[in-house]
Amino acid sequence: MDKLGRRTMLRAGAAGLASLALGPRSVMAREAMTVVPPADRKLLFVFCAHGGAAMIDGLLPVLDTEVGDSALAGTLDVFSEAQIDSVPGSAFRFVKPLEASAYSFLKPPPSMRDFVQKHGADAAVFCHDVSSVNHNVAQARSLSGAGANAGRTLMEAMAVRYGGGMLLPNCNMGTDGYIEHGVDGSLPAKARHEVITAPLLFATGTHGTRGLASAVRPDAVKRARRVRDLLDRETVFANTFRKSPLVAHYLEQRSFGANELEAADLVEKLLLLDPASAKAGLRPTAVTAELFKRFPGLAQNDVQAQTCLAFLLAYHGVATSLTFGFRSDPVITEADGVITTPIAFDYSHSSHRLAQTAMWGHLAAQLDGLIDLLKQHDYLGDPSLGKMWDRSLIYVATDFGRTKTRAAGAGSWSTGHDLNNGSLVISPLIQGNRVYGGVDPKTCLTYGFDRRTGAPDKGVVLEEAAVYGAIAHALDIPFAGRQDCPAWLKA
Amino acid sequence: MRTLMMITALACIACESSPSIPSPKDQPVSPVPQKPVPAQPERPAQEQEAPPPYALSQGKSVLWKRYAAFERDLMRGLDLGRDELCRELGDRNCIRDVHLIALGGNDPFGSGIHRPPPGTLGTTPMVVDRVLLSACSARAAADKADKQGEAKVFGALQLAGPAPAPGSEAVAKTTETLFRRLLARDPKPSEAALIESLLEPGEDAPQSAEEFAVLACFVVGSSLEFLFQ
Repeated sequence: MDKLGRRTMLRAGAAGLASLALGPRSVMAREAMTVVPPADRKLLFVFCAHGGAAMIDGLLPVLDTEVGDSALAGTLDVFSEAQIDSVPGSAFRFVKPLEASAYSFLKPPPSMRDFVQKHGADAAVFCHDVSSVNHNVAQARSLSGAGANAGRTLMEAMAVRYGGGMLLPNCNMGTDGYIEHGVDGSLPAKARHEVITAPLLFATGTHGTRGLASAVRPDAVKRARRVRDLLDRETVFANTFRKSPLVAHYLEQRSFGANELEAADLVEKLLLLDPASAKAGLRPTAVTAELFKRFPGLAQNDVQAQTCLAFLLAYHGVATSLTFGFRSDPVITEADGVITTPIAFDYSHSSHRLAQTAMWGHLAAQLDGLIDLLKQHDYLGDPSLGKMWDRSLIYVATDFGRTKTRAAGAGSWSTGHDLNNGSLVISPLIQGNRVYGGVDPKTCLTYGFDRRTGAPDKGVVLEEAAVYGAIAHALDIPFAGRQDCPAWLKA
Repeated sequence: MRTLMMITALACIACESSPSIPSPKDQPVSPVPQKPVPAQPERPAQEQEAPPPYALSQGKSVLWKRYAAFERDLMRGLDLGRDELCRELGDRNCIRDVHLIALGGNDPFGSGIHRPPPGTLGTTPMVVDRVLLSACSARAAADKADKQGEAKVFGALQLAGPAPAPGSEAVAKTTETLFRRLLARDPKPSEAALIESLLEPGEDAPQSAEEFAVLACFVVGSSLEFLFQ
């Protein structure tokens, strides 16, 4: 064994002291959240495309004629010219819906045309691979960058960066791996997400009395709360367990709820109640009434309800990170029957093209509606703050891609999970109408690009950490080891 | 050697200034003055210094009474059915349908949420208040409507009448009933006095026996002792 010399000891000592000073985040004191003036805030919308939204079935379809070998083309997930559409000046092609009869039990989906035509200028496809084909693991990694930022999810990092002073800065309506917390123990408690499963009525949970069928007056409830707080100083139980982290945290939240959350009076602002059926003395705001016009099915369509609540939470300055999207169960309404496939994009296991065209169509329609709202409304309703869209970034997070092959000449087939794919990002903060990377028509595999210049490079494979870094770069979220993407930032 | 000693000393200082890590087990601690809870008004200094005559827990042995136990104990305590406890806007079950996750549940089939949240959420206390106010109101309304003398919880009160007088037998009996039904014990005199303080004169004092019933029930049912175990 080498004898430890004085220099070695000093070096080791310095490193040890440095680690004591800096430490892993998990043992450091919790970081403070930044309070950012409204004018400088940004908004992150994460749309969860559950089950594997294959980019080659959405905005990067390959023509059979581009393969250069008709026999090979017959074994790949490629399209005839008649199956593909585009709009003038767009960098994207998109897949047309199948004939209505092909959708069997589903209502035929909307076309992606409106989305591409109206918002394509702000859209970018980031070609990359992922590191897991397990749904939950891949979903969680799509948000954590597979540990890019000490295990902090994008939404958590966003909440720390812009959410200081917000009431519920990180709201998550996702499922499975998309609802997983990050693993950074130093994250401020308020940056952790508030889980929302019932978007229509979530607002009621922001107030102790509004909308309740109780004859008790709010003032009397305040008195009762004061007495309750005194009782919690008196009982042996409360005094015994007051220092328990669980109880101490609850007491903090109780104070926050009674003093801040209720004071914001969010029930009518966030309640997704049809104006035609106002209940319990609650009247939806004019903005909410507008949502029911834009999304007439939202009372039964859970994805629309999530989209609208995400918008309202952002509009009223309650949150900076909004996560929502498709769930495993299909959307079924009285008017339209079955709208989305069971298990969303993962229905590709049964019928790839049916699932992908249906879900891409609905995905595009949701985003189209959301972006329209963001483009129409001023942030916090204040014209001096400009349109919400100017500060927004939408990240379509998906698990992974789908396998690229089919039985020779098959018109209908099923697919498995594939590491290779890409992500759709839409924002005025990035250079849109652009594909970052590309697709090799002979394999239908995507390839990466030079993050500095944006030049496509078939030899580059980017993974989750690069996507995370690029989004964080666009949103000005700094962290050590961030994989910047200067190529896609607007000058 | 001197360097090594210096490093060791600095490491010790760093350790002392690190946040304390809760012990894995519930370690009783010898009586020490309690720090005031930030959200609550200050106690007189003399009271803060007086240690309670029992050991304080610093650990994690306390459990959050999540939705199923919370619901069950409320149903049993107030003699109400599951759907009588609370319905948001008269429509959907507060506990099972709307606020399940905030009350500590998980929803693998409906929402794909496989694991319950590790701790209470930002909206949990408001949701608890809603459920308690709703359930207590439902119990008081049912007892008020009772004409057979079979009121389940608030039989000592004339619910159609004005708020009871402080110090009355009706207040004492109601307090005792609520403590027994919700906390499974009798109130201490100081705790009973707190419930009675709801009736101190003021614009925010209960204006009817029914309102007193609901508020007293709310105080006991939303206390830490009912919500944790």
